[in-house]
Amino acid sequence: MPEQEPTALELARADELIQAWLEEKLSDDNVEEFLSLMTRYPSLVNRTLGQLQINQMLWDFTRDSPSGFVEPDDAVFLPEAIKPRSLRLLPGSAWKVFALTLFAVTLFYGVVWARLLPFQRQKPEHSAGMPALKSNAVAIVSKSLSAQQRDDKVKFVSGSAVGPGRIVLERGLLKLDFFNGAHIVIAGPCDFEIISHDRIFCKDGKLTAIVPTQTKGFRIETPHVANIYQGADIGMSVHSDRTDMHVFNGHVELPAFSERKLSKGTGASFSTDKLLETFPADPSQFVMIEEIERLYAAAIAHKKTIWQQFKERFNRDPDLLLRFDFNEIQAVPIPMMMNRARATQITSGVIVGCQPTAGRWPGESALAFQNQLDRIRVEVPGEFQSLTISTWICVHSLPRQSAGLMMTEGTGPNQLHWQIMETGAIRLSMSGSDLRTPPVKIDSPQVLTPNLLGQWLLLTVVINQETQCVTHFLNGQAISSHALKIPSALRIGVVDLGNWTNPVRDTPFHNLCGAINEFTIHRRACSEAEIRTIYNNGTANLL
Amino acid sequence: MKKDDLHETSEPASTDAAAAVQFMQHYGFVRAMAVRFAPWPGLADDVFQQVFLEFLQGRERWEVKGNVRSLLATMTQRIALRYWKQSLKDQSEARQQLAEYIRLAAEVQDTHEAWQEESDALRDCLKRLPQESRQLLDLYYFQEVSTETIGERFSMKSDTVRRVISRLREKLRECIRLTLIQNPRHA
Repeated sequence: MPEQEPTALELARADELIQAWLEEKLSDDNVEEFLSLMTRYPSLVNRTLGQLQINQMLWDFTRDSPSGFVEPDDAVFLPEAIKPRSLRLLPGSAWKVFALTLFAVTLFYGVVWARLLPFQRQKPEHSAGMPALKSNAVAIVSKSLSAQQRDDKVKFVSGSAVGPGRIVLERGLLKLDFFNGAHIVIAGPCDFEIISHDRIFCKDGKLTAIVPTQTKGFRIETPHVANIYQGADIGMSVHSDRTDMHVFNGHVELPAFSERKLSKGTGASFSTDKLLETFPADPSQFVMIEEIERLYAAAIAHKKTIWQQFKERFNRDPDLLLRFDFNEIQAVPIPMMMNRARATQITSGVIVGCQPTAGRWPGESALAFQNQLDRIRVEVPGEFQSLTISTWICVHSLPRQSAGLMMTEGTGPNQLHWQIMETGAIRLSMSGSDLRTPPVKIDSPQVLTPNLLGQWLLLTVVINQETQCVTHFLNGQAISSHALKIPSALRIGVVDLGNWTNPVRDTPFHNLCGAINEFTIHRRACSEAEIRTIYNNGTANLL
Repeated sequence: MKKDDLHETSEPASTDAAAAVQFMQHYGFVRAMAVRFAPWPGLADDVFQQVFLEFLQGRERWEVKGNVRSLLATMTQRIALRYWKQSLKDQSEARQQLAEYIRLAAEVQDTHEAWQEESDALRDCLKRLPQESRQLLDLYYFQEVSTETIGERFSMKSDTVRRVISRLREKLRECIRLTLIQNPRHA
């Protein structure tokens, strides 16, 4: 007897249920209905499993491909009503309310700004102290997968700049994007040297390179062959006695050899300046660029899952006063940042001017502080004996005398100012118990060096009543500790994050030039181990 | 997995990179195995990532060599089972029944050996979809707009949006099947 097939109506219902199942939105009634349909029509089981597979592949694409399913020409036709969420911070009429609020705030700060303009002009944008970003960098580490150097055990961080020099990669994978457009993947162990923005020397090991035509040539040298590549994807395997070259795309000109050209799909072995043999190219011997992207995406996705589980526990910490994760912004009636800490009365912070930008995790957002007026305002009532203040931050530049991280309004007794100085030091200043006592300023060493600009960093300061000590941390490591007589009652009150509301005459603006991805305040002194754990779980770098 | 379980040998996976390369050579196979043995939304992803991590972690202990397909198959099956049990632990009886029904059906099917080829074909098939259909899939998958929100924005019921998305996937399935038959490049 032939298997019974569902009617069109039943099939339509099954399709609804399959999608609801994939979204994990089946109610218990739906579950029974779904099961009943499948037991009645076994063909629906195959349909469900097939859809699960396609669904998985489509989700895979979202990680592999940044561009989406929409072709460039399609974007023109995307109606306003279905613009992506990320482009629509505020829906409909909320924009009008926000625009009015912004207008009022801008008007107020505009007056202040106009009054301070003469003083601001006295100070050049890039003042002395922190050196301007002068660097010998020739490439950027675009992906680092557990890449570690042999000698000094330096681990590469995605997003960091690399200058000329020898790199003996002991393990891991490293993708370098050279400033002239060549992309190179190095698989450890590999001994190579970056000579310039368009030239490397590989002594031993394997690399793959994509050298687009726009590079105007990228020279790769080995002990056996030196050649300039352009418009080709190649793999090179350098051994003690020979170099094997594989051409995966485009072609390679070999002006110095009898075989003048290697085409796509071919390879050749070279001893010192001699072509030994040709063979078919074999991509399976190499880590291709797409593979490192895929591996990286998988590893980051896993790490993000760990972080998400960790932050759920983190939010339940009874001493956590405030945690803004910058992901969920309440848009109506004015943009507000919601407090994720559970055991607190502090509900939200008001966002003034900042715009959403990419966060440190793929698919998560941060807030960019670009305008001189950008800030988040929040009130933290109460008095505290100890405090731990922490932020995930990406500093783009330090053009001001200081950039406010968390600045209390005004300079009342026992109030705190946490800021980055133009020298690259982190400063915690604390006003005295009365207005006659000058504030104390506790500076870390100069830690924000130019090569850390543009990277996501965890900055933390701990004010410990018990040990009478203030400690600055960078990326989970204590960088300086300072003995200090700490008042018994610390106050925060109304604060600006990323700016300062009460500028004084000689230092008109204290706005941060960068982005913040997370901000937390604990009403206790967190231990060094705790802070390290937060960093290890929270960093999106694959160390 | 013990060393004896591995029979075919070639180059040792002496570094994370080498192990990662070996793993990626079986990317599609592990993906397909994960879906087969953990056929529940989102679970295959977790299984895949765990297999990847355990594979890297264990490379020195196991001295993983050459053809690692059998090792990966066993690892994936073991991890899938573990995750499966964990994920069902707190589910209602009805949900557990549904899950077991789907799992048993999936288990008797063959593993999609041609996952990568099917995935490549899917990319081509996506390009052949009408523009509006691509936009809808883009909203749901890339922009992560929920079916409810899509429904609100298009003045449709969320069930209708679900049906449309399901049918689009079904179209894509059929397109992949035809592509693999017609185009030897994919097969």
